[in-house]
Amino acid sequence: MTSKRTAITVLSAMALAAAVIPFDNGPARAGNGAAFIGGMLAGHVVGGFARRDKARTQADMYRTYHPATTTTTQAAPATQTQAAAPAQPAHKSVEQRLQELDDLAKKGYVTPEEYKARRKAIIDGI
Amino acid sequence: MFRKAFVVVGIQMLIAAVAFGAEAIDLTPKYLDGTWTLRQVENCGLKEFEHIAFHRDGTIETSRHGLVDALGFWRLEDGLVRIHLLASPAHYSDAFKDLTDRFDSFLITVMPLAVDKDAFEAVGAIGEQMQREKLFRCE
Repeated sequence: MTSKRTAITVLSAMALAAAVIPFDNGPARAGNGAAFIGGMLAGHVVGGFARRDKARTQADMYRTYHPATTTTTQAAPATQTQAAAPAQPAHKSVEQRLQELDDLAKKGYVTPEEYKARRKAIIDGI
Repeated sequence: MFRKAFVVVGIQMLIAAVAFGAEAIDLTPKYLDGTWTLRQVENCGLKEFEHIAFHRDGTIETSRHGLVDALGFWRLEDGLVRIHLLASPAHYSDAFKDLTDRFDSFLITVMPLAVDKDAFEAVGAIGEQMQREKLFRCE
């Protein structure tokens, strides 16, 4: 039932696209010429990497601002701690968290507003 | 509500699109068999335009500049062409040019419209990506 509905939605979207999307008369990627399947794959590949990068950044930020998660991991049995060790560093000091925040800001992962808010939150937690 | 309206409008567009191509030739595996290029038949001789080769044995390859970009399998199903492709991201963006040893699989759905003797319009979709092109058969 769900797959049928999904198929109808996909068909509808494609039919709608057929009416709405203009023919692409420009190059599908750098250079002369054009690619139909290549154009779609290029967009999908680049978009996929961008989405993964964004997800990774969000995961980094989550770990930075939720040290409680790290504490829980430390309390877990030895085998689980070993498995989580590469992704979950030990409890971070305020200085380390501020440093990490600075690094994220320098790399453009957080806006100035987010930087100020998170910095205040870290300092308020002392 | 919006989704329902979207589906209704989409189905109407589909019917219109099918009606538009009603006089055209039947879409069969035999029809697709061969090499196709984009936009105009003259581009068959230009290597910078993608060439898509549908083989009778169910395999497919896309190429530009005389080099294969992606290869895989295709099948016709309910008027749609389902294409499973294997390709390297290095083929599609300079940003990934170092990833020549990495290959990913992709599923692309293509809806052929206005099917004519040696040309058809194709609307393709993969994930959120959609593209529309006119394909021409090469000799």
